[in-house]
This record gives sequence, structure tokens and C-alpha cells, in this order.
Amino acid sequence: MLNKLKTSAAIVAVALMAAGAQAQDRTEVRIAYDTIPPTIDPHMSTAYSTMDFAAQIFEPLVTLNADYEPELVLAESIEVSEDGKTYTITLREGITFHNGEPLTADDAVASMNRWKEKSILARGTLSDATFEKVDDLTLELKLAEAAPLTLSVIGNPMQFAGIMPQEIIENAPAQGVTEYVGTGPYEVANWDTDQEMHLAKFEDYSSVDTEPNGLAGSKNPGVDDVYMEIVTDDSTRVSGLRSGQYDIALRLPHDNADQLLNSDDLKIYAEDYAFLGMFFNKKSGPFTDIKLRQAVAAALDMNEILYGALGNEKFYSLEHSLASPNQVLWYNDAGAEYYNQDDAEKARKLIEESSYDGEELTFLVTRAYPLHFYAAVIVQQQLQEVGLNVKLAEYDWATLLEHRSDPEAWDMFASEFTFEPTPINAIFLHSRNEYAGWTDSPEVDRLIEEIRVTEDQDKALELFTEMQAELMEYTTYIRYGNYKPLHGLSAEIEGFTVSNNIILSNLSVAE
Amino acid sequence: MITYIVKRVLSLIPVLGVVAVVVFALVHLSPGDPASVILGPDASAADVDRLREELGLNQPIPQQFFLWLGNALTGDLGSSLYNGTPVTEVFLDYFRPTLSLAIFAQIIGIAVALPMGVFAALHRGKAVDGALMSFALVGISVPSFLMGLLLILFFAVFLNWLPVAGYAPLSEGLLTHLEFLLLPAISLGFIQAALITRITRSAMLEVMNNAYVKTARAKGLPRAAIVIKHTLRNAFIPILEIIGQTFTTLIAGAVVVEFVFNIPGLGQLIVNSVERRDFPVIQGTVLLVAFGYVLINLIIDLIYGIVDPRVRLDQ
Repeated sequence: MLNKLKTSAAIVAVALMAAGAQAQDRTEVRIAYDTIPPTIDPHMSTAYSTMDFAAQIFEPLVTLNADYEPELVLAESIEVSEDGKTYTITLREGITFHNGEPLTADDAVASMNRWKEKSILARGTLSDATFEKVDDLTLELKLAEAAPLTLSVIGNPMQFAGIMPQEIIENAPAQGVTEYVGTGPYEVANWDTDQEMHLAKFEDYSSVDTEPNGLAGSKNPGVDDVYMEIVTDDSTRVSGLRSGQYDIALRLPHDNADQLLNSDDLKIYAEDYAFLGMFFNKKSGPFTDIKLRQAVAAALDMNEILYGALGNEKFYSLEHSLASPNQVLWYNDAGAEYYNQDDAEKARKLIEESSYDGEELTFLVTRAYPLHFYAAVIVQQQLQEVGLNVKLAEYDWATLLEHRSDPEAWDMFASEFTFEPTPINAIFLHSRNEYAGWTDSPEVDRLIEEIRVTEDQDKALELFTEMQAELMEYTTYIRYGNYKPLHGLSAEIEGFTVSNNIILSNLSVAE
Repeated sequence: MITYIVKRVLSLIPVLGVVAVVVFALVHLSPGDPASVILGPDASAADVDRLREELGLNQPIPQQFFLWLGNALTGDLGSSLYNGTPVTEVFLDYFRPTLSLAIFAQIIGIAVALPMGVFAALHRGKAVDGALMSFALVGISVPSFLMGLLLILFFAVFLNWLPVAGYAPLSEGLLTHLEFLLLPAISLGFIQAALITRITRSAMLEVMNNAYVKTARAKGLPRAAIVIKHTLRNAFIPILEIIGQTFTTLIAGAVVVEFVFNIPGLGQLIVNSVERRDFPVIQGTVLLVAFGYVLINLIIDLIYGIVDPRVRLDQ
């Protein structure tokens, strides 16, 4: 009997040692990612999935920290001339691409010029600007007129200005680069399209030495390999996380939160990420009438909509400001009287005053984004109650995009937007962007242009507050509120954060 | 026999022609285009137009069709609009997991179904027959995704014996390969088993009533010889037919199971390509799947002749 006990104890000891050794050796992290990115080329696409992948591989000259202030990444210094029209950008020395070639001003100029041509934001704000090489490590950005927000534009994380080798830029096919060579903390070891991206720690990575802060600061992966596996089925991501096959599972159904929180082996990550809402067609159809748009704003009960979509008050907040509460430079309360009114009587009165004649209102929505769909069902019901004949037109993503570009095909569509680092750059504001919905308020356009050239931040905030009030009255869109996507993590995972895109550069596994 | 094969192969041409026209028309007439998917939700209309132009999608549809058809006849099915990989290469990459899964599921199905069907037929009307037929009914009624989710919950999450999802190619070792395929193969094989069991049972019963079986029994042949040599072999044509049919559907991609278990197979390829309107991949894949479908049917017909020499193929 004693012998048996001894043997069992020995076996347990060996097993524990093996388990311990395994825990210490853990140098890889497996991530279950929910969407297939349409491309990995950050210049090409405005899709968030593209940024989540590309941001691990490519780096810009400057980026934004958690307070949305520009910080240097590949640039060593940026000097702005007195007239504010010339930016002299010096690159950090000794940076190499994943292919072993050193980073030079030629690469930066080629990348910035391509980005400027592709990025909607850059075309809108830097259209007359030029990037030119000065010497091997220096380039110059020349603007037609001074624009204090230029670095925020260059550092914008959406459709970001990642720097790639010149020859890759020059040989890029129409649908975007297919060779992923950047300067980031991870290099692409393998990419099975639609299946899995294997990111390996880049041994020659040259990090800045400031504290990690949002997208900025030092990057020092504590793991050698990250596997981003594309798992589109929600329940499979949840099961894989629970079984330990995945260390991180992104964008899980919010219904699973309690189940994850009740497990000692798991934790969740849920932070403000984007706003949910819907846009009106202001070019054609009944919503060209501002009264009818205001009627919709009057009718809706945002708490009911968000609770219905997310099922838990922890995951949303009732906010109407264009800026997130963290964006202290821009956050304000203007236009609150138009938000979350839940006033059926006022809505009916506005409908009566409008030219609405009971015609069918087409609400475009896709189940590819379940939250948009859940919210839309409740919106439809609330609007029907005040007498608006709303029909949900549900399509797959590609069909929705096509219909959305046709002003005759719809009246409302559901959408979401992450927080724009410089809120006036939100694509749906300026008429020049011709974003679906076709906002066309000369007053909003004028204020945006004015803010863009205003040096004094207090004055800028004042103008921005005025613009927000104008926007809420004009009712270009309806913002239900801000929401937090639910990400599930193994309790051992440390250093995972999200700031516009997921940040894996300081990921580690606790021993 | 050879004339028959030649005839059948020639008859493939009009079938594939119709498939080509229908798929091309469906793909190009349905709304949505790859340029807007690549450029993302906030892209401007001008950018989308420019990329359409660059990808050659602005040409008139008949012109695009004849260009595609001409290339297809020389064996070039084009390249993915999404990453430039040739369609035949993409197809083969995704075909391997599907084929592995189909074969594995079919083996499980047959291994379970044949003995069960024979056993049920031999004990017709008894409790065991009832039990087996109820099992088959459940098998047909439970959708494969539900079966898959239950298997994942029990074997992968609760017991942690097998991976939840994913796929490992054969090059990573047979055991690893099978480890990933086991649960999906069971959830697919379960339905196959249910179908084959029912057909096996009824085919067996039909043959068992024949005079020659009674004669064999009267002659005092061993029971095993009667069942296997005289009954099962003669009952095999309908069984083979159902095996062939189910196998072809498996080859065409078990879309739902592939999604639940995240297997990069043909079903997933077709759905993903449709979602992002990768026209050449959709067209090429559907055409090749149709080709495979007809080919398997031809092979099954040829096997009939081997199993039952009374079937004269060339008449």
C-alpha cells in the first residue's frame, strides 16, 4: 500500500513538474479572430479587421497615444517651420525592415505618397501636400497652408500610413500589397489566407523607449509566436477559449459574459470602442425633410435599444457626444436636448409637420454585424409605434455596401464607428467626403474648416461645440450610444489592450 | 464498356457548359462587388470605381464571360481578385481538407451503418430492430451543426480530449490530422450512417424474401454465407447508390460542419468567396465541384457493373 502511494506521489510530482515546465515554456499565444480581413494592406482598406492585422506588422512615422496625442514611432524628430507649412521629418537610425533592408527616406516618401493617394482622410486634408526626400534619413512634408492637426492625420490609426519598402510599394497590385514587409515588432512567418496568420517576434526590432501608451510607446513582445486564427463562428470561439485551445477570443456574443466571468481560468476585456447608430439618406426620399429626421430622434428610447442589443448595462453607455469621454480636448455636451428623448407625442407632432405620407421607409441592415441587426429590430418597433412605416431590408455585407451607394435604394442604414482621434475628421461630417447619407450642412463644413486651421485649442473646442450642436439639430444620424465589444482571455494573458485596433506588442503569458 | 465511358464523358460537356453560364450569370447579376469589400465600409464611391476599373470589372458582362470561358477552355480559371492566387491552386488547397473529411466521415458512416442495417433486417420486428431504426431516425433528424456543437461541448470543452476546431494537414502527421477531423467526421458520419442503415435494412429485407435465399437456407448453408454472399451482395446496388449520393454531397462541401469546426474546406471557400464577391474563385470552384460531382456519379455507375454483372453498361 505504502509503495503504491509512493508511486502515485512520484507520478503526480513528475506530472506537476512537466506541467510547470510547460507553463514556463509557453512562448506562443493563439488568438481566435472573428472576421476575414479584406486585405492586410493598411493603405487600402477602411475595415477594422485590416487594421487589427496590419498594425502588428507595419508602423507609421507617428501614431496616437491613449489621449489621442501624436507620438513619434519611426520618426526621430519632426520640426515644424515657423509658418507651419513645412514639416522636416528625420527617421530613427538603424531601423530595418523584416526583409533585412534598412529603412530610408525613399521608403518613407514612397509609402507616404501612396497613403496620401489612398486614404480618404489624407485626400481630404492633405490633398495639396507633398512628401519629398531631403537625404537618406530625412524627408519634408510641405503644406499649402498651415494645419495644426496635420500630425494627428498622419498618425490616424484607421487606414494608417504604414511604412513599407519602396520596391514593394512600386510593385503593389491593384488589390493591395501581398508581400507584408514592415518594421513592426512581429513579422509575418506565414499567412494562410482566410485561415491563420503566424506572427513571429521580429528579432531586429528597434523600439522607442517611452512607456507604452495607447498605440504609442515601447513595444516588447513577451512571446515568440502569435497565431491569429480566423474563426468566424461565435460559438466555436467561445468553446475554443473555454477548452484552452485559444488564449484570446475576440468579439464574443455579449450573452457569454457571465459564463466567462464565472470561470477562474478566464477573464474578459471590455472597453469603450465605438458608437452604434444609424444614418439617414439626406439626398433622396422622405428623410430629406429635417422634420422627419428630428421626429425619429424624438421617438427613440436609447436605453431600450442598447439593452436589447447588448443585454447588459455594463457594455454600453448613453453618450451622444462626437468625442469619447476620454477625448478631453473635444468632449462636450452640446445638443443633448436632441438625444434619447423617448417622446412619442413630440415625434408624432413632428411627423405631422413633415411631408411624410406613410410611405415605406427602407432600413438597410446586415446580420454580419449582429448588434446592428438586434438594435435595428427595436428601432423599427419604436418607430412603428409613432406611425412610421419602417421596413428592415436585411442583406449580406457586400450587397448592403452596394445598395448603400445608391441614394434611391434606402432611407436609413445601421452602422458603427470607432472614435475618431480628431473628431472633426469623422468621415460622415464633411459634405466633401460624400459618405453614404450625404450630409450636406454648409454650417458644419464651415466650422470644420475653421477648426482645422485654429491654433488655440480652447477656441477649437468652442467651435467644435458649436458644430456638434449644429449637427445634432440637423440630425445627420442617430447615435444610440457607445458600446464595448466583449473579448475573452485566458487568465494568464497579460498586456492585451485595444486602442482603435488590438495591440499585441506587449503581450506576455504569466508563469 | 469503353464506348459507354466515352459517351458519358462527352455528355459532361453540355452539363458543364450550362453550369458555367448559370454560375457566371448568377454571380455577376447579384448585387455587391469585390472592390467595395476590399476597400472597406467607409470607402468613397470614386475609390470603389477606380479599383473596379483596375480589377477589370468595368468591362461589359458578355465580354467578361467570353474572356473567362476562353481562358477556362485552356485550363486557366483565372486568379482570385482578393489575393491574386490562381483559382486552381486555391481549389486544390481547400479540396484536400474536404476530401479527408468526406472520406473519414464516409468510413465512419459505412462502418456503423452496414452492420446495423444488416442486424436490424435479420431481427426484423424485434425490439432491437425498433431501437436501431429509432437511432437512425434521430440521426436523420438531428442537424449536423447541433450534433457538432454537442460533440464539441462534451469531448473538447468538458473532457478536453480533442481540439474544439481547426485543421491540421496530413503533413503534420496522420494522428494529428485525424485528431482534428474526428469530431467533424463523426457529426457528418452520423447522418450518413442513419441514411445508409435505413437503406441497408430495407434492401436486405427485399432480397431476403427471394426464393434463392430460401433455397440457400434449405440447402443448409451457414448463416454467415447466406447473409454476406447471397443477401448483402445482391442488396448492394441501392446501398451503393446511397453511399455514392451522400459522398458527392460531402465532396461539394459540408458547409455548416466546416464552419462550426473551422475547417478550411470547399464549403468554406465558396461561402467566403461569395461573401466578398471573389468572382473567379466562385465560378472556378463551382465548375470544378460540378465536374467532380458528375465524375463520381460516373464512377459509381461503373462500380454497379462490377458488383452486379447483370448491369450492362454499354447498352
